[in-house]
Amino acid sequence: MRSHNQRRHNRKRGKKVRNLAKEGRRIDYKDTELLSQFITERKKIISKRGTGLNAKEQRRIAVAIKRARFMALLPYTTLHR
Amino acid sequence: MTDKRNFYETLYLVRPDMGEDELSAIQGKLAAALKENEAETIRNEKWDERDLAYEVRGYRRGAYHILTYKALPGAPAALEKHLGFYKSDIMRFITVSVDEDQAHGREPEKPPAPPPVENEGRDGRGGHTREREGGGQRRSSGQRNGRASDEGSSPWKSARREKEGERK
Repeated sequence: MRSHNQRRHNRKRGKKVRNLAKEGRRIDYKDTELLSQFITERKKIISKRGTGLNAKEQRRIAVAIKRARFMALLPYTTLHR
Repeated sequence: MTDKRNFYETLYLVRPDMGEDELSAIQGKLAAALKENEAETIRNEKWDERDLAYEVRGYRRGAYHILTYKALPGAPAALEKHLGFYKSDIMRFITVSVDEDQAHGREPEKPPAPPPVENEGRDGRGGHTREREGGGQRRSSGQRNGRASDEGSSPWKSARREKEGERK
């Protein structure tokens, strides 16, 4: 049991977080450079677990990506003609 | 008297081969719509001309124009009515409400504390793997393989694989 807890602790420490407010960056749908850090190679939105963002920022990033997609700033998929 | 006006930003995408005259005619209409709503224009310029992420109405390139203004809440609707009217020339438009700093293009204040060292070398794609690894065998065999074919070789995926490799 103890070793299990120990492992659990290590896993927790391995958690990588990112906070855009601390980096002084504003989430904007026009900022494709920033948004493309949060999409996969296949242009899917990366989950909160994958990005390490907090809920608030993840939500705003997701909305911004969707806005950028609509404006043709970012692709929806890699399968566009 | 309180000011009921809010800050808005409208971005619209026009055909790359549109003449100056046509464009200024449309922009004149937009300006008139804003005037009716007591708007104060903060920014009205061409933002960028770039390759589109996907083809829109047969065009692979487009010019983005940005309009930032402080106006009554009815202004975006009035503006979008005009934008929607020129469907053949204006391919896309979007209006978002912004705060005052954003409207004036001010950078957000950076908090004084530097980011923690443990975040170094991070590109925003690697993920923490707590739940994944804690899931037991069923999850690690079945579900992960299923996802792998779906995702292909995405960067965060491979980062995770490396991490798991280290631990073994």
